[in-house]
Amino acid sequence: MKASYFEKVGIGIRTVIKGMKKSLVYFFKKPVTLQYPHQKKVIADRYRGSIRLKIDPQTGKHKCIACTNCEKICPAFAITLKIETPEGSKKKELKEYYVDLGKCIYCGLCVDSCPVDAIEHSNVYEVAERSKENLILRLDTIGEKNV
Amino acid sequence: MEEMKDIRQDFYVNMGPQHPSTHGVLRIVLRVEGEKVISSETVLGYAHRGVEKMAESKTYVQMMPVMDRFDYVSSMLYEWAYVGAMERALGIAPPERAEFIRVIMGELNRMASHFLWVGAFLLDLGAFTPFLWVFDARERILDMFEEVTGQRMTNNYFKVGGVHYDITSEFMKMLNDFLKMIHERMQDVEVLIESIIFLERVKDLGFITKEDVLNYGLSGPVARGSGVFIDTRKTEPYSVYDRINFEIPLGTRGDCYDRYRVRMQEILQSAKIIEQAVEMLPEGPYTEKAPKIVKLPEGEYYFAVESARGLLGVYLLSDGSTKPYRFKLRVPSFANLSIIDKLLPGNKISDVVAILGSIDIVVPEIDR
Repeated sequence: MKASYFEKVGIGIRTVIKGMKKSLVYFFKKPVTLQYPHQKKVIADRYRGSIRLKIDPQTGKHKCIACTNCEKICPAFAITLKIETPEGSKKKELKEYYVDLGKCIYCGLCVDSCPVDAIEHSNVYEVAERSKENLILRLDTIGEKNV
Repeated sequence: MEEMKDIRQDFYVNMGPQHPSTHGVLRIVLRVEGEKVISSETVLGYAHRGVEKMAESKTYVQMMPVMDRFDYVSSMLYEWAYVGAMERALGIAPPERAEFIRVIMGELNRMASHFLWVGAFLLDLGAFTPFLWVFDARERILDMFEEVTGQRMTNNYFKVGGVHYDITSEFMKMLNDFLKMIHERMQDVEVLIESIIFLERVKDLGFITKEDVLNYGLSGPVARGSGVFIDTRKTEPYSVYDRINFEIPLGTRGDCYDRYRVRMQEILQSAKIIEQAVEMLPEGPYTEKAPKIVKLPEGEYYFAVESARGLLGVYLLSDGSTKPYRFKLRVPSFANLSIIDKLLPGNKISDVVAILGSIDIVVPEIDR
């Protein structure tokens, strides 16, 4: 049983009115969008933003023991460590810690692999820079940029 | 005159690779006569990145974030398949709580994927408002993911022996609010789109018979739309799905409208699964102690899950080292897309969009 052309037009108009009614309800609802640069969303605590070295409140220094676990596990090769072993000592010392935010995929494997809990994700997500070099975080900038 | 006829017959239209309704870089060469499609040829490979080869040079753990990037709309189901294969190899069973968290997350992901599909499908057909409504719902799911996993889309949440983080009380609150609003939202969307304009475009279009489903190896909502009972969650239950009571919506005729209906009902079924999983969620650890450096014993391992698009299998061939010797994916989109060249001939060009949309493909998992 097929509806005739005029019947179809009738059904069409009826369903359109029905839909418009629903749309009108939504029209008076509170908008769900945010005007981004002016309004900002509340970011979850666990949000994986750019990486930073944790500062130990007791010593005021980072906790890194230069085990290079994070460097090895990084799937995007974003982390590079510079390590030196001072003469007469067996302990490795961290000289430089590079994180290339241009390569980082924010997967969190480095944080997961750290045995001493020395690195963490900050909540910083606006990391745009004017040049590629500025995207590379160093030991001296890794703290101050990601506050 | 004879020449003229030949020219007219060999009129080709390129749909894609930059066509907005191919959902990625897929190219379909249509041979048309006027508005009618005579034959079609699907051209793949525009998004090929060689990921299966790349897996051979990455360790098992390093491959985890890459799994998110095949299917960006239901990423955790991909992680599940990969983690499942590794757990099967290592003989590790995740704790109860982790299994239920996985079910909740997986079903939320399935819902998010279906929401995106409904929105994009209707957008292709010219309806804009439902797109905004379902995206609002999807956005809530992504907010929940951010709350628990730390990322909105490429979550990297699963790990061998459980999940990375426990779910929070804030998440449970958001989940309850979401489950309350979802039924009403689905009804609103259905009122809006069940108009004759939509029905005339999708009914009696793109029939897939039961034989075709089996011959082409289709799975997921595409197969279920034709009334074939294929769902890994029921036929080969993994995790705790055998303890959860849910139905598999089936279509009867196998046209675009049936596939649409199956997906809409699946969203509500997923909500039902989540409600049960939340109720059954036990206390306890959310992760089992697992080795940090994953080394699979020698052998072949396969694990299949039901992704939002169908049967998703991960095959791992291990030689005992920290890297897989061979890594192979059985993706649902590839098999589901293979039937497109059979469906298109005889239809109008504008129907191509509807048929392609009803199959629900994600190109990055086809060209991997």
